[in-house]
Amino acid sequence: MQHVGVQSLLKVHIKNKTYLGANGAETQALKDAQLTLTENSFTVFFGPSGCGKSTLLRILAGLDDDYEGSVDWEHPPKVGMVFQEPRLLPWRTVQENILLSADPTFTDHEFKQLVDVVGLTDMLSHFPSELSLGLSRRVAIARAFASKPNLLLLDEPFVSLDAPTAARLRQLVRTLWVDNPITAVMVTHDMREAVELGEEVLLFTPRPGSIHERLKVLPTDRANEASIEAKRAEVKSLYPHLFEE
Amino acid sequence: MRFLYPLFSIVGFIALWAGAAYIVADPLLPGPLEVCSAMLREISSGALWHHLFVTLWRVVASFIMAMAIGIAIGLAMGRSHMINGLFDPWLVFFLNIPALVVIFLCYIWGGLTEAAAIIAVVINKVPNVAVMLREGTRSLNYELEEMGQSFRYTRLQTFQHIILPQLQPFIVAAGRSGLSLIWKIVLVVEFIGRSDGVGFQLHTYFQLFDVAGILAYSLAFIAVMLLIEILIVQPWERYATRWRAEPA
Repeated sequence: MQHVGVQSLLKVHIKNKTYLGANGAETQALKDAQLTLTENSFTVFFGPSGCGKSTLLRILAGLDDDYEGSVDWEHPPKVGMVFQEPRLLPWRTVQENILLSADPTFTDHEFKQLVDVVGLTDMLSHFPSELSLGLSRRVAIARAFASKPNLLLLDEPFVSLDAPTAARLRQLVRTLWVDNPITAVMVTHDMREAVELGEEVLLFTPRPGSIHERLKVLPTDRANEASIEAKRAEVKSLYPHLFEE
Repeated sequence: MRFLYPLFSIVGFIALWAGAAYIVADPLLPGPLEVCSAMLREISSGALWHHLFVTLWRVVASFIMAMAIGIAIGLAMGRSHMINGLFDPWLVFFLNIPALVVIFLCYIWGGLTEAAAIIAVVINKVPNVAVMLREGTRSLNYELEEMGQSFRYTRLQTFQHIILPQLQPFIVAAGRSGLSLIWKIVLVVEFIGRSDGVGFQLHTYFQLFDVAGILAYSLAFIAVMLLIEILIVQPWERYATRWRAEPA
């Protein structure tokens, strides 16, 4: 039974996911991880390094199908992904990088609007080697939105950026997501990021990962710097073992 | 200054050559002027253009075939352990078989035909291209392919935008070494079993001990290959690598 107006996009139940390490030993990455994503929700996977959150994201992206369990889609998935490294094609310009992954219905007008919002209008003819990491991430974010996905996957998209750049990019993702509501999943180990962007935060247990707790984030929690920090501190005091600092 | 050194070197060599030819005064060591006049003679009779063109045609045809087949085999070997295992012994075999043996066998089994000549050249070159492209394929960036996979790139898009640009330096290197190897083999093939082309002319002048004629044809063909390098290979390479950051 579904709630009126809230459609689920997919149901996931990963019973078991193991890796074969280089030394031949098996490592269990996920164990009995279950989740349901509702349409146009913003979900955050939060947990310590190596808890399998990126593994689960890769399964959602269709990059890994070697697991026991099921991923049931309500409609065929159309994934837009932002990787930890920008993964731009070095031999294509910024414009080509965005348009190569764009949806066929993506218009010139939408393109101009998108690059304006992400602040790349003046950089379109540049090659990725000429961009800073922050700008490359902007291109990667624009590329994901240009593909008009019904599932946006973000794998630690703000990692190794300086604090002001990371803050601007979080704001950018937030703006784009509010303007183009899509189901989004972000992996992070930064609770600040989780509170600022997520509507629901799934706390992962340490390896083998499963979902330990679901936290709702209310608009009041991300109203301002103080409320974000208060929420972060509250979660940390409840689940200190999930924090790496 | 940088451009003057090669010029000094070439002019110096020509002067030495002219001096040596003057002192020896023997038709077996013609001077630069004799070689030039032999070249002019062949140009005005039209023979040089005819033979140059025929040889160039054979070079281009066998080059295209060798590159296409070599790239396909190299890609397949780099991607699949099974195909690599199946082809690897034969790659070593064909890399080490003498060019002359391949040429003889092709002529014996295929007759002294154009097709046999070109197949002989192609067989000689394919293993080199395949080896280079196998290495290129093994060094492909897996993360970019995953990116394409996550955005549901088609196979053609993946090949065109992700794989081919990464293989491009290997293709250029294989093409470079291919061109210089192929034209040398084409000359041998013509020498042994064709009745036209630069190799055939060299054969004729060899029998006449006409060194001026031999040098005239060799220099003319080297000039043609140099022009191909400067007018086609280098501009293409610059265009294809324009995305790389300029070295500081």
